Amino acid sequence: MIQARFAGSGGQGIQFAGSVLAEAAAVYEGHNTVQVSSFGPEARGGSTKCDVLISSRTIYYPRARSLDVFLAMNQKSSDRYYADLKEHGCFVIDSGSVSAAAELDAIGFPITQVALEEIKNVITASMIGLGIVVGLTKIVSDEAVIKALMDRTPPRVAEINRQALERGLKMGSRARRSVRPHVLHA
Amino acid sequence: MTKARQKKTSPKSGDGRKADPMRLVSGNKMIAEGALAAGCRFFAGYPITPSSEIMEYLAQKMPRIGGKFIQMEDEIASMGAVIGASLAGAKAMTATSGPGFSLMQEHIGYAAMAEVPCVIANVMRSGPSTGLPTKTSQGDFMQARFGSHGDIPAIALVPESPIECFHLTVRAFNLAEEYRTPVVLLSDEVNAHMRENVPMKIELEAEIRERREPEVPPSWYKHYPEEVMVRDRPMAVFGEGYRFHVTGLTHDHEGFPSSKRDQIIDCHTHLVDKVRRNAHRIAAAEKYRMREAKIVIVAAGSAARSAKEAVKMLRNMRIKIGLFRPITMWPFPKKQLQEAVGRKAKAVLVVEQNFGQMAVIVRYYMPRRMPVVHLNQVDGELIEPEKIIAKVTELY
Repeated sequence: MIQARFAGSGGQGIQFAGSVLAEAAAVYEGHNTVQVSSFGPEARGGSTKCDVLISSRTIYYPRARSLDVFLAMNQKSSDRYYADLKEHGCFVIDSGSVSAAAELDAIGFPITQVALEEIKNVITASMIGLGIVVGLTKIVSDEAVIKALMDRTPPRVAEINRQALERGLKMGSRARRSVRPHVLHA
Repeated sequence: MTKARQKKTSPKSGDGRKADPMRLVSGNKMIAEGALAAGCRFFAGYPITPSSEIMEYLAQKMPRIGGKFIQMEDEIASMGAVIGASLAGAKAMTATSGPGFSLMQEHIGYAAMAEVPCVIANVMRSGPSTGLPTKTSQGDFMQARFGSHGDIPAIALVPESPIECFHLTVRAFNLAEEYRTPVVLLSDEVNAHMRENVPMKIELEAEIRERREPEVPPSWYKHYPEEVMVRDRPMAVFGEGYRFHVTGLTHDHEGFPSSKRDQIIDCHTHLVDKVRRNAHRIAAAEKYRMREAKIVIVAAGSAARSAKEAVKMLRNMRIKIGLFRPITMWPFPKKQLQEAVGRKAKAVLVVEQNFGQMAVIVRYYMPRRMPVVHLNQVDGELIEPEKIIAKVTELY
């Protein structure tokens, strides 16, 4: 079973990134998948996290306990959840907004910066983050995640999201050569 | 016994979609889809976390298929509208969570007394009062049974997964029509906000029960039966020429208030007995890896998912343990439980997300010598399998 967590602040697109990953796994790759969203009591803002569990077997307990993959988009969620990572788990941070201690083996990417400077839309940061996670770990195939994204996005914003996701996939794949995250199986 | 076990999908093969296409759907959406599949054409409600998605979905869908959707001013009014719609011939439902469910009790009692079929989806959250809106709990087991004053014929179903949310919603509507009574669906926040694999095309587990029209001319029609505990009887649509009276007062066969002793007894006995005496038809449970189980876990709804994980892990360690999962909380599947536990079990462990509401019932149906141990968690998080394992190891 693979356990992935995306966390950040409300409005960053964390839940959306999580659902795209979950749908890629369930709809396009036929895995048993559970996606759990959790929120604070606030209507907006606050912290948010999205867990995605992917398995070839029936998933009973729908909670992530030892994370294979963790994407932290802000400092608060990084501090709060890095302890849930399993040993040698893949820890991806937005280097612009998270400063993790070096011993945590975090892999930093300038996610928000790329979203602002290259894609010119800060809201696409979560798509870049998703792309990096998939490119780095290959939990699902690139095609599956792109298809899942295109299925979910209204045409008006499809192109910019796709651009961001593909940019992320490229960043992740490139890093994969040097980082070599532990092999993951659903 | 209804079973809605999750279908195991084959692992990834090749590039594209599977032969059995899946989608990812939340429990709340499955309740809404189940309602539509069951023929629900009226929804009245008031938004409340974690049930609001049911309402949102039906607000979009209802008008497109000729149904009616109303957002009422509060939960009391919502339930009132549901009763009215049902009497006027529509299959009707509402959805809410703990605080709203408390407000609805007055009208749930009315619907039970006036024998109006309807469905209430109660997506449980942590209470009492406003509690923890975004966190889970199973604190309404007892409220579903004893929330109203007087004795009501309570039927309550507890789903453990999004797909079961669908099937049990359909069943809730069928039961409501069959027994002409409000039926409660006790989902919870875990199911509500969790998306899980669901087949693209869902096959119904049972036929949809439609409301039976009276076969007699209006002058012969009796809205309330003359014999007690009759189920599945015709029900006229209000305002179509069949005269009957609807009241919350103890009533006679035409619905008019009565204080004659034999009619009072008939009215109350019928109400309670139609469910109590048919409990064997309604009660449902799932047995999970119960073979030679020395310790039997009893858990329902989302807590049963943690319990299944625990059972799986313990069985791998060759510890003989099984899970008994009530699918109907009311009527409680007592016979199934007694058979499942049998004489060989050493103890029964009741796992629930409250301070022991179901444990009281389990204790009541177990022989005196059988230890019934509680394991409760009320912090708003789904109970961890490790906690269950630790408790079982202690007892084993």
